Amino acid sequence: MAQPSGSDLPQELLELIFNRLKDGEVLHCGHVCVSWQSAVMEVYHKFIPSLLIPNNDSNEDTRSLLTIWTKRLQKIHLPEARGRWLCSATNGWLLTTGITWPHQMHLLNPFTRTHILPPPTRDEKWMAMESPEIPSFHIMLCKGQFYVTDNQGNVVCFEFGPHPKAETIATRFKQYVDPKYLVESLSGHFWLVLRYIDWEFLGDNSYVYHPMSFEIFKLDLSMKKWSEVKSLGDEALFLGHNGSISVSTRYSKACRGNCIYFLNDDYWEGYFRM
Amino acid sequence: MSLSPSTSKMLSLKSSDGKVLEVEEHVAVLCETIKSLVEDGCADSPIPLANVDGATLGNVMEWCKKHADQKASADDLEDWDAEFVERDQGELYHLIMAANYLNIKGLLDLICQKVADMIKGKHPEKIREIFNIENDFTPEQQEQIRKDNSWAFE
Repeated sequence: MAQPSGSDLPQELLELIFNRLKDGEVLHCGHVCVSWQSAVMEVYHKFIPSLLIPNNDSNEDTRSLLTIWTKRLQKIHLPEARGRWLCSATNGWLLTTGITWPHQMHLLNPFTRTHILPPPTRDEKWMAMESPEIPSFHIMLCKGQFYVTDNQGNVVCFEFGPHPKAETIATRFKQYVDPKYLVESLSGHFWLVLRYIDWEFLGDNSYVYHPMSFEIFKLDLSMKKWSEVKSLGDEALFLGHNGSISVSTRYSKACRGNCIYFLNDDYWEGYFRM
Repeated sequence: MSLSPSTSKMLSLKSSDGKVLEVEEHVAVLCETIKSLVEDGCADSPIPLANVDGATLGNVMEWCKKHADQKASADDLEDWDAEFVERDQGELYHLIMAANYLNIKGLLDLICQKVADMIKGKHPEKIREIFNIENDFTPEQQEQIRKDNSWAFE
């Protein structure tokens, strides 16, 4: 009997297999052969995040997710997040912190509404670390290290472990821009997205945001230099202050390539992805 | 109808290549496809399984027998399963197709996870090699993939 080929597996079985992979691994499968590529198209849309609409009133029990491809708002009943910041979203979990001191952290799964406290650190003590001063920062976890940028474009890399250290890996930009977002591109590059906004004060002490434009810079880690990115190719960016990500649009019509998805918000919360 | 081991009768299963396998009913009904036939009283003797060859059917029933064993602990089953899936891609291919046709969710999940684990961390060329797949993209499609995702082949 001839050796069977993995390309003969029916689409439904390929989908069952690909559903067990992470997004980067699924992308690799799309480059294997024509039949695998079409199965990847069926499963990749689940990696496209929804945008998390911030609450105007932090005492509300519901939050809303905007699904890009259906343009529909989904309300989720989430009393556990009432009066809390949703400060990070990853792999189906939200990290929430209390708005007031001591900013107690919770991990929350918004669909099962499972609610857990992160385990305490071993010695329950905070340790001070020598580091450059970083006012108003955006933080990103990339390849096991934390990268932090301030509102002037300095980027500091934090390494933990037995000998924690902080190192400035890139220095400031020509101008002060806030907000900024750090994103790891699909190709593993380090991107800094500058979002230019304009706000208009209304008479009654409130204001509205007007989106203006974006600039994206790529960091050359060895030269410690920034260069401008003119096109995102087939990647789409989802920006948020709870983290930003890049997704491929090659296998999904759910969103468009070379596009940036963001909310015209006061930039506290951003996207949520399963 | 009781399907407990003590009262289990034997079922004959006939593979695509004409081999007949005698299996205890409480083992064979782990296959939802066979279970429906038995429950509806449509289980001919032998039951023809046109999509499963004899060697694969033997492997599938070995898995069913282990998992029908009430005495096996969860840890024991996990270790046994890990050893069970240590096979070449050809055997895995026939197993996943059979698990799907016979509708055995536990076995299907197990093989899907094994295949997913074999894919993890590998580049497309390596995946093709492991799963005996020919690159059937046209040169133009190939060039497009290379351009869009040159990182994938780094």
